[in-house]
Amino acid sequence: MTSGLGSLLLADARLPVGGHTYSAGLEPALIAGMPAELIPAYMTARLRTVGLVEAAASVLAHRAVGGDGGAPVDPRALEAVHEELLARSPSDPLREVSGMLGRGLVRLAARLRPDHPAVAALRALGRAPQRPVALGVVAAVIGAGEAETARVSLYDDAQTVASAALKLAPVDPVDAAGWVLSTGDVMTSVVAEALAVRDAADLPAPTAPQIEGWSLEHRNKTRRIFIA
Amino acid sequence: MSGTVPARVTAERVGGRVRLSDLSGGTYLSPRPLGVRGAAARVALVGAYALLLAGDDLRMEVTVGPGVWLELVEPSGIVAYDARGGAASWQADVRVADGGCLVWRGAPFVVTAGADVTRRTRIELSGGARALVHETLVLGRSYETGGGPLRSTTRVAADGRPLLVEDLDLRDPVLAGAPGVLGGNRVLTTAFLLGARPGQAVGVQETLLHGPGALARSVAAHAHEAEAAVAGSWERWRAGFADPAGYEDAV
Repeated sequence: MTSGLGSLLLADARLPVGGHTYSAGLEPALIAGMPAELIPAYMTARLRTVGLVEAAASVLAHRAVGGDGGAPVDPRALEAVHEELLARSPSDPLREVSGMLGRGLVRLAARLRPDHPAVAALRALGRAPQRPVALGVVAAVIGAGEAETARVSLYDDAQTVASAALKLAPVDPVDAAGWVLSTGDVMTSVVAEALAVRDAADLPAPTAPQIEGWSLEHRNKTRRIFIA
Repeated sequence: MSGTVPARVTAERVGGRVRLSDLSGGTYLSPRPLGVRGAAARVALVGAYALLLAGDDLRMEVTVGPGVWLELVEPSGIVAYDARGGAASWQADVRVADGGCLVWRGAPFVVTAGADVTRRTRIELSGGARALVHETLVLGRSYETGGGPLRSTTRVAADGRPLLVEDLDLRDPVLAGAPGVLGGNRVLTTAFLLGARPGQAVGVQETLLHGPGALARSVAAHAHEAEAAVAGSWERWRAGFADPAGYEDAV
């Protein structure tokens, strides 16, 4: 029996990993003219596209460093997941933000579990590995299971949209919480899809062209609250 | 859908010249040579008849040998018609060898309402190979509100390592029209520069890939708008990374 603290920590915005600078693409979307009424639809569309890619990458990273069964850490498998994820992330600014968030997780893991072989494998990917891969490794290291990891990955994405919405649009915080809650069915099915992926080469790659395009438009904006 | 014959284009370099060693017509497409100049060749892809209907399974295999520059030209666009319950597929398998260069400006691929189409593009680059590819996907003709279902996957590898993997899955109309995916737009135009990386992205439509490559993309209501948005990237990349000059006077 684990304490269950691992997934609670990772899902908590108070964890010091720098997530507050990121709006999950909502600020660029609104600046590009997406009406605020569409925020819930945007949240769901993310879960089914980038959300799936990231959740599946987190699960594969989790397994590469031992997974639920505690198998030995496989640094090459971890590297393969990272490489496949990078090939599914054409937007340079989105890769950069993901690396920045990944760096925060690396720093956390390096302080909390400096001698863990999974942390060594993560650090071997560079100082700023993509966030989903770092999340999967950190989750495994602090005792969160693979299904919880996928759920945390998706929940964090939805909650990032919801909390950014409060800063960017006239939104009632209770409504924003309701949007997150109403994604339950979508989240459950995306978690199942993420868990069904067996091999890094089969990592899902659903494309959301507007999300990518908006991220590029946002890159050189000077008047912005969030970096992406 | 079994038993369709793939169209084949194979260009090799023999001495300083291109030899189009295989230009076999497939069930749906016939390659026609447009001209050879030194190590550079141009080939037109001509449709055998009105494309694509339910049950059609168009395949092509393109092989660009070491040191060859090959341009594929599509004289007319492809229209996928209402499949009335059947499905159609389009598949391209491309290999570019070391020092080779492929330029392929695809004509608009129009998926009318009711057409159920799967597109697969696979590109494998070896060594210093390059490819510059342009595609425009149009959902529905101009008088239609949308098209498809369409699913279009692109998988590019450089020396066996993944460079770009995309799965544009527009089979669910809710997701296809969702904000962030196409958001009600009908057209997606992309220019892919593969095997070479510009110094920087120019303009809001361009991004550099993690590996050697870049992409310029536009989502728009109309094909002319989407194509205009990436035209500058296409021209610049073509001049900078896919110029036939060095190949034409090869000996």
